[in-house]
Amino acid sequence: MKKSLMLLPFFLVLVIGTVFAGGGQQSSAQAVKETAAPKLYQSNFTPSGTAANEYKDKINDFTANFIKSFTDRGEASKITGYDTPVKISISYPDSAAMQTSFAAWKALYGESPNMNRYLDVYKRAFNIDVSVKFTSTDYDQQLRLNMAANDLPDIFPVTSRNDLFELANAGVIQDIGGLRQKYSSQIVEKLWSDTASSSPLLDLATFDGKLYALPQTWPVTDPLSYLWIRSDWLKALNLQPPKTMDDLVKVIDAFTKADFDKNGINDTIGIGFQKNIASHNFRGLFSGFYTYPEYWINKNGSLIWGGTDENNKRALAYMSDLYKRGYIDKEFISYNDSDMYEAFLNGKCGIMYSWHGGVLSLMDLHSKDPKADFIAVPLPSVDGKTAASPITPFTVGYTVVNSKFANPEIAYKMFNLFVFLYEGKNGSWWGFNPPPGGNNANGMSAFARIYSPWLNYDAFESLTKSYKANWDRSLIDAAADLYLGPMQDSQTGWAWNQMLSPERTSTAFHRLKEIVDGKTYFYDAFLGIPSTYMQDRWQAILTEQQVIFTKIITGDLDVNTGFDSWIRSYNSLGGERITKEVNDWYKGQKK
Amino acid sequence: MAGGKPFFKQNEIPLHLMLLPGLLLTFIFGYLPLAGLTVAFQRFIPARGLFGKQPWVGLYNFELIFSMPNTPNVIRNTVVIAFGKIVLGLLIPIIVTLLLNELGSNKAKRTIQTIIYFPYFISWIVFAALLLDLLSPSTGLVNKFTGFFGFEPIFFLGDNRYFQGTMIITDVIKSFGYGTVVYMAAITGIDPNLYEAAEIDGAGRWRQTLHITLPGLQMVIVLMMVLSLGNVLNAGFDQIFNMYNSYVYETGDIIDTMMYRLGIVEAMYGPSTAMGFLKSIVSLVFISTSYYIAYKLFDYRIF
Repeated sequence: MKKSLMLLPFFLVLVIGTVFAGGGQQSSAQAVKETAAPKLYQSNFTPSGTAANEYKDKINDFTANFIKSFTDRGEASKITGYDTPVKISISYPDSAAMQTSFAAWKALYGESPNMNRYLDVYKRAFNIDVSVKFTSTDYDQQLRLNMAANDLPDIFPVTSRNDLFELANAGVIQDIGGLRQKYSSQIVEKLWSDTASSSPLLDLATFDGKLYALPQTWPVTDPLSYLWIRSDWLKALNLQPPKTMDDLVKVIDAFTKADFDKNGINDTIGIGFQKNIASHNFRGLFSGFYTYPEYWINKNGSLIWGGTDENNKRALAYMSDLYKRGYIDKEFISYNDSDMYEAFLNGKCGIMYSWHGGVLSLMDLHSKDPKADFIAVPLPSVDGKTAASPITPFTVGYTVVNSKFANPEIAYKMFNLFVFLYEGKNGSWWGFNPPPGGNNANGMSAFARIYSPWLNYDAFESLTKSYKANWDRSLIDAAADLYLGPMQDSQTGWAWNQMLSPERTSTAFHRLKEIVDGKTYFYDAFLGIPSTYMQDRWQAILTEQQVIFTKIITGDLDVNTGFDSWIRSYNSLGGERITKEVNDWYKGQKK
Repeated sequence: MAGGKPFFKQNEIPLHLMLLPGLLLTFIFGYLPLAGLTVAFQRFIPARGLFGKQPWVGLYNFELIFSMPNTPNVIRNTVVIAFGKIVLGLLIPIIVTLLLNELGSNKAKRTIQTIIYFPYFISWIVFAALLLDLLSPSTGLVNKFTGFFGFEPIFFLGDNRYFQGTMIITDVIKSFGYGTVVYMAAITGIDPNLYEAAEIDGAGRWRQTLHITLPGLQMVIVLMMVLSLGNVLNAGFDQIFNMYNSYVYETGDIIDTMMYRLGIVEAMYGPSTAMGFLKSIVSLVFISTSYYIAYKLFDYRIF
């Protein structure tokens, strides 16, 4: 008895050790041979539910066209399958919206996270059995845990570039650049090279000349910030949309004095802000002063951090003045987006800077005040000229392949198939089609998906053409189809039409088209890999900027002394050396 | 086991077995994670695994956290807020208990006790949401009330002058009911004969409180104090995380919230662990000292 009890601790260590060690098993590392020509395979998924027939139709359409489409382009070898089934584990980010969607798709087609249209079609096209290793709403954190436990899936998305770099450095993911020539199809290459002249997207995934990931592009126009104004208020006061920053103050002033909610109290807020200065909510205003505090900018041939640009002082003085005159809610420093929207929904505020979807958050206003109407006007600027808008080469993630996985070419094949589906005639069903409150269907293939960087622009072009031809349905492409559904819906139509209807004249997408056509946008100038020195200090610098800028706006700090102290902190926190590193990178690029 | 004394008495074995689950959990959650302290001296890269080949960086992480602009504030805030909570968290429940004890009606006593005990059971995320509304300068009840008397509205959660006080007071409001329950229980344990004797000797209510009730509570008070001193560097993550914003980092950011932002949000595992390590060491010193003082002054011992 005595001895056995003393052995207990050892036994415990043994048990715990086994539990920990058990997690690290990997799938076999034996490469499976691909067939000579593409062919279709059987899938054992049978759709059930109220719309099972629709599902079958879409699959039939896929089987009829898939191989033909690639063969016609002479790319049959890029979509070949495997006679021996290949087992693949994947992971992807989850969200509440995604779970709502799956509840709806379960009822319609019998789909689930473990078996759905994408996993079904990957099986039919390539004979691969995809199993979901994990999904998580805190995906980045979960992934880092799996990284530490050395328990990664075969093909998975990484959302942060730092994680990508660390995975590559640790040798956990493989260089797949060598396969690009052989397996990447034209339709995918087109999307990667579309963003800008030097195709920075692939550069973002390249380290030491090796391509470690397939970038998942997303519309590059999403970071654009617009000025949203209640047009019914403008009309009521007989005002024109502001062209200069001074005009904007006049409009703000008129709105606050008009007391549109007629409660007799001076409680109208001039312009809506929330606490985060590095956001759409401030970006447009800073742009109006030709300053870009969230980006690296090129000034006189060298790069500087936009936050340290002297021009910020003018923008900050402007906001500080608005705050002092009571046009900004005193509580904005503690507001989230939803707190800020409250004033709009109660008819107490009618101006904000926001992205193109900003108006979608104000949907409830329509039922409270049917006359309410928002327009997105061209960004006013300090001198009335057009202010350029900053954008980033936008990726939602990078698809990477585990070093232990022996068939890395499958990642390319999945991308080829995904783009085929999204550009096909059922593109909306495959990629978009969100159920109410849910996520887009492409979320099911979040480990391998890619969209055109100009998706918003193209969709608007297609809708405009169709509208001019009396809403000719045949002119609506897959991208435009995504938007048409919610625009025609009675619940969501009000907000979506204000976002992009070609029937109107001043929607966010009209502005987007102006910016893209007029080329009044520019890319973040620094796309290098942050050094460890920068990684360790950058966040502290950003926090300092946020704190000091906020204090200048609220008048806690004087503009000049406050800004000077910010520049001092920037340099003492390592900004000086970081700026030098960034410029060294920049010089290396120019060669 | 020396001298042939048996390791266990035969009849004690079931008791030791009952102790086992607790020991096991302490071992898994309290001792095994100590191995992770190595991260404080590494530049930790998750992709290389928890016990993989991580580059050692010596005291670099400690240097880094002390080079951050807000670190001195963070340490000061933690100590100030935690001490405020400990002091008020001890005094208020004692005072309220003594006052409650003077209430004649048992029914009233119980009703009040239930009401003040109730917030203790609400989680901070809910309580913080209530407070955000109550303390708002434009729409909050508190400012409407003070405005009635002509005071300027105060932005309790967005003003560096008021943030720490607000944290301390709201925490005491939430938890003082719990303290009164403990002290009430201790008061019922005091021998009623003592009060009778004092009354005969001509002592009034005030004298009775001072010379019978308070000394009767002494051991419980010391116990509560020693227990709360263990939290000297826990200024209340749940509370502050739900109520602060970047504007009040200067006075509101505490060690735990900074660790959270460094480790979970910014993925800087080394500095975050270093911060936690530092906190543990300082806490150890504080607890040992307070325990020693309690032993010297009140002859109080846990073991």
